[in-house]
Amino acid sequence: MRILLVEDETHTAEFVARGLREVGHRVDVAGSGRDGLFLATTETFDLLILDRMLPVVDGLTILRTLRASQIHTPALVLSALAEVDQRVEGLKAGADDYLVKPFALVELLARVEALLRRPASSSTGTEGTLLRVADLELDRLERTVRRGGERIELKPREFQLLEYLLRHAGQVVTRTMLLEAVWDYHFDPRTNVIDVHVSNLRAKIDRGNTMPLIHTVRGVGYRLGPADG
Amino acid sequence: MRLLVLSPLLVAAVAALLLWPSWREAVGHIEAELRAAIEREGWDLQVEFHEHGIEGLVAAIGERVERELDPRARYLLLDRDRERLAGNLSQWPPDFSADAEGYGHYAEAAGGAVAARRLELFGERLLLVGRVSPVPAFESALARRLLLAALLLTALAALATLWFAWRLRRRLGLLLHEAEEIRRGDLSRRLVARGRGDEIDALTDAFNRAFGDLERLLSGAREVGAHLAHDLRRPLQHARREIEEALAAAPAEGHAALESGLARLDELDATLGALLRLGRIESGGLGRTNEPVRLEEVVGDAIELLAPLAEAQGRTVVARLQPCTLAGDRHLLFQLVQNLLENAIRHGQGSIEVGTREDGTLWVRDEGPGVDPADLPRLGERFYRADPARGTPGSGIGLALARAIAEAHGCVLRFENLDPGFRVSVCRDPGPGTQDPVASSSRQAGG
Repeated sequence: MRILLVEDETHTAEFVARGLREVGHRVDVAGSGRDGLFLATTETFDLLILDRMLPVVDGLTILRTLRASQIHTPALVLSALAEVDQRVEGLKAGADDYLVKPFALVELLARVEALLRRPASSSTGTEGTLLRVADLELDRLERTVRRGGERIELKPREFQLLEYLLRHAGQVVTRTMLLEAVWDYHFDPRTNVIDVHVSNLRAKIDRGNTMPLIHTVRGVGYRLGPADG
Repeated sequence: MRLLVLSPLLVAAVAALLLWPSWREAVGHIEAELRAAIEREGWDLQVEFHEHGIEGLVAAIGERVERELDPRARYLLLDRDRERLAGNLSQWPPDFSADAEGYGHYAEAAGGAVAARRLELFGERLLLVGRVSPVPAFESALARRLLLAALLLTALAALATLWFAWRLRRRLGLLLHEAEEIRRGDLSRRLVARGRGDEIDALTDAFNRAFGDLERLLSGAREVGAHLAHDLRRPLQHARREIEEALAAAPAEGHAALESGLARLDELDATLGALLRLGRIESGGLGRTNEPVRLEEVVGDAIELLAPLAEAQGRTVVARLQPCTLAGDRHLLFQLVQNLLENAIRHGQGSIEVGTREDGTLWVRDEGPGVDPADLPRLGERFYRADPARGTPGSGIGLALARAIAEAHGCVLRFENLDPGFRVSVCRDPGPGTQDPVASSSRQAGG
């Protein structure tokens, strides 16, 4: 996949670009907003990663300009501004995700994967009724979960957690992604409270099963899939 | 109210003081006139006596009495043996005392005062010429009128005072209400001057200028906050990147130290984030969202998020939620509940009760020993910890953030030792807007 990274801090830009290349992406780096805007309008990318605070032309201005000229490439905004209104401002400008600095590279990579794979799962409405991985089945209409044909009772929030994991099956999903997706609030998740919720969910899904489906990715988050890999 | 009673009395007193000299002057004029009339008549009668003798005087007095030229005139002529010769008085008035010129007053049995002149005629005869004085009648009439005028003035003054007080109250009340709305809401709003150019308009202008300064200051602070966030987070990002790079290159035995370094960095970032957020809430940059929020839903969600942490300690969280809608920011309210709940999970003991009431009150109660009473008033201050030895990361700011969020929503945080147990409540701040603007006195006590 081809990614455009617009970031004026060279160290951060190099670090992020290297990380993205290591997982197999092609990365173009623009060191200023003007270059970034030029590249984004003249060439085709699968994803844009924009720093919000850039000299002269900032990230949100680039985004607004692109969206106004009907360029809908998914965009991830990086910013030191973390408050909910600042986030909302970013999303309103056309960002698909908003990541606050300082961020862990793995967090950025997980979000990039989620954004790159998103169109397939979110554009079609009918696809979503039944989500299945191995012998685990989740019916979104009936709001039921079955493992090996056997019904599993979940609390509403556990159901949402599992649904999100299933939608991103095979991908690494970070704790903050889970919190943002399942708890529709912006707050400081200082505690690793999400771990408690996932382990409760795991107890219901994987208990007594020879093939565990919910895997912990150390230092990052979780991945739902048939095998550890 | 005191002013209301006092001012009419004052008006009456001032009126009386001003009228007193005029009154004295008028009475003086009347008395002088009276005296002159008596002197003239005395002179006429003396002339009569000198020209026509005692018989002529008796006839003249008799004629005057008979014809009642002046009903107020009094005459008495006595001979050497003090026998009455003529006049309309039966006897010499006993309480008549004359001055050196033979002039004086006496009171009549029927009431009324008489001014009179005592004349000594040839042959030790005595003549009294008097006139009923109009002064007492004048005085009582004047007093009656003055009293009526004073009452009228008093009533008018009372009405005027009431009216002024009512208007002042109304305008001050309006100003106060607007100021409170500005404090709670949009800082770019201004108080409305009535355009009368009076003191209240001057006050309004002064307030508006102060609000303008405040707005400039706050927007400046907000900008500084954004730059601060950028400038502080950039080095954190660099540090994080360098540790991550080192981590990728380091042998496995070095990982633990580097990972704990990363964790510390994240802790620092969380504290920084909380501080920046606190700054933005306090400067009015956050918490100005005024959407209706179902408080019990937000609290329910926060309980759902955090209850597993308490349950992992073998404790329970009990929800007593009554439906309640609040105007505010749901994200901030969630953070408020989260901080209070985390506080109870970390520092409290036993089961935790979380409740909302219809009036917007929210409380979190645990069964722990509570807080040293000496620490109670300082809870919620920035960086203040009741027990520094606990040293829980970020806890110095959690309650301060909770307090700031509560205040941004027009509420106050209240801490109570319940013995046993400890309760934090978020209650509606009565605020200055609901106080009596003129007669407020016990505002401070409520704090």
